[in-house]
Amino acid sequence: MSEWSEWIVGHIDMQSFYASVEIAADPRWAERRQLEDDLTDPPLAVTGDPKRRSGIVLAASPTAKRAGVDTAMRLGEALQACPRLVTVRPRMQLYLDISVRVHDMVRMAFPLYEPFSVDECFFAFPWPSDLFPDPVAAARRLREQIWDQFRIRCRIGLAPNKWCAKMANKRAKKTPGGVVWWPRERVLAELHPLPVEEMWGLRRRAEVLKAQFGCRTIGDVARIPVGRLRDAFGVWGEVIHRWAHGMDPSGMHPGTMRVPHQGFSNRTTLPRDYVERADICVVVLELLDEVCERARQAGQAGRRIGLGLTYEGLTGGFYRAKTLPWPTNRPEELYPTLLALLDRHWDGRGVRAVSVSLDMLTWENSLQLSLFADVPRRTRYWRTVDEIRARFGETAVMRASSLLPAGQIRERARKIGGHWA
Amino acid sequence: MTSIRDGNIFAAMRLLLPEHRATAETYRQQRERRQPPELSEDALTEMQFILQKAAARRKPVRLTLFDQAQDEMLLGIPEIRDGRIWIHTEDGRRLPLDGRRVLRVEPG
Repeated sequence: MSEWSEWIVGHIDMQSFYASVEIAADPRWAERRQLEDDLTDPPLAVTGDPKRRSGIVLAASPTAKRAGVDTAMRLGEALQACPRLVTVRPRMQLYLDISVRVHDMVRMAFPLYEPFSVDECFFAFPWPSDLFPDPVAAARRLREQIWDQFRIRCRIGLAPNKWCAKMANKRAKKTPGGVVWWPRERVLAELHPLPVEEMWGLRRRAEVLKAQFGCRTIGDVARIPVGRLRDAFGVWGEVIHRWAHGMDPSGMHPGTMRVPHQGFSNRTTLPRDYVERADICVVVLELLDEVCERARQAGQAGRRIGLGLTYEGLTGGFYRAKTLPWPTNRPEELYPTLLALLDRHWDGRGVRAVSVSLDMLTWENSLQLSLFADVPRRTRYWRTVDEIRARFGETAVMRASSLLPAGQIRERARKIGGHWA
Repeated sequence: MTSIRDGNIFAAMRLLLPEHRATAETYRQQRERRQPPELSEDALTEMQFILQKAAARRKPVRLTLFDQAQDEMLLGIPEIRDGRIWIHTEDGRRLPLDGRRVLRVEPG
């Protein structure tokens, strides 16, 4: 075994993941599809339910994109742009199953692996090493294995750290073979000519860098003293400075799927603007039930409860949280606080999205007894409700208020991440 | 913001649905489930011989049965009735024997 001097980090991004899974699942298109030619795919889009607000394009195949279809476009517009467009409803559980299996393949191929999202993950291997003498060849082999087994194309960026691997991945999109490696000594030469908008993770900060600092390229950002960046962006200034110099100290966390939760948060976008307090309360209570159930399943309880409202047009709103004297995962203890937050901060505008969060978590290994409530009885009660729901589904036991027109739980129970399961 | 200060920015920006975690956990549990060993023809024939002989002579056998958590031991006298094997235990119970769970049969 040769002496390792560094690790190479890889970032995998699966191409148009939801659409690719749907295309791969349909034998009609199997014959003509080729790994290196995505024009052999049909023009297909995965779209939400047209009857509700979710009637938008969630994912589109490269062929559909070339015809003018874009993610987040309304279904009607997409069909105008591409009349031949094949539309399918999302099957989220299928995508999650395929995702976990692809991730497993990556996990088994390299010494370190870390998931990032449903269609992205990181891996790492030592360099130089006898096991991976040619990094690009190793990445290509993985890419071909994923294609052979799942008929899903992916692209891979290789670099000395996670952030650079993500940036290299962007270049891989435009590179035949789908794999790009930025060795340590070439990182800055590759990075600095790129436009500042291409710096991953900056979001609106890229606009500030352009307008306030006159930056056009990442190289321009690298020339700004870190103090000035810190003045403008706070702690993010330091992050931006590091990234512009090709540095990212983020480690690999292989067990991230099993790391205890830092917090639980559930959010729903409503089918219309809710203007009545009673209607909003129905949804708040439903989300609180979901958050508490997740906490109980993980054996955790939280001290801080948060409420977020997004107003009509999905613009504006607030997020406020309150810390309680002791941790809990029982809705009846948390709901009054959420109502107080609602009454204090809601300005009466129409509400289009609601979120409830629970954090400052501790392990639920001891009961906080109360003089006024029969805590062991309530604990048994919720355990029973959780068991019934786990066995017969989320709607097997629900609150009567969820049967009101404002209730969303029956709709949500059929979905994953807001899309059809 | 702690993650960002610590430089562990990807942990803070990760997008994993709770259902994704749950699916990964289900696959992990399936992967780690104990599987009963594949027994050879010879081993199966030998176990069948010991069981038949013990049933004919009403002698006890010691059975090792596969279980997800931990293999179980069972001591009793086998009886073959209506094409099924039953085990009469010392404490007077009569238990049906699931042949798929039998890993080993020894004279008791």
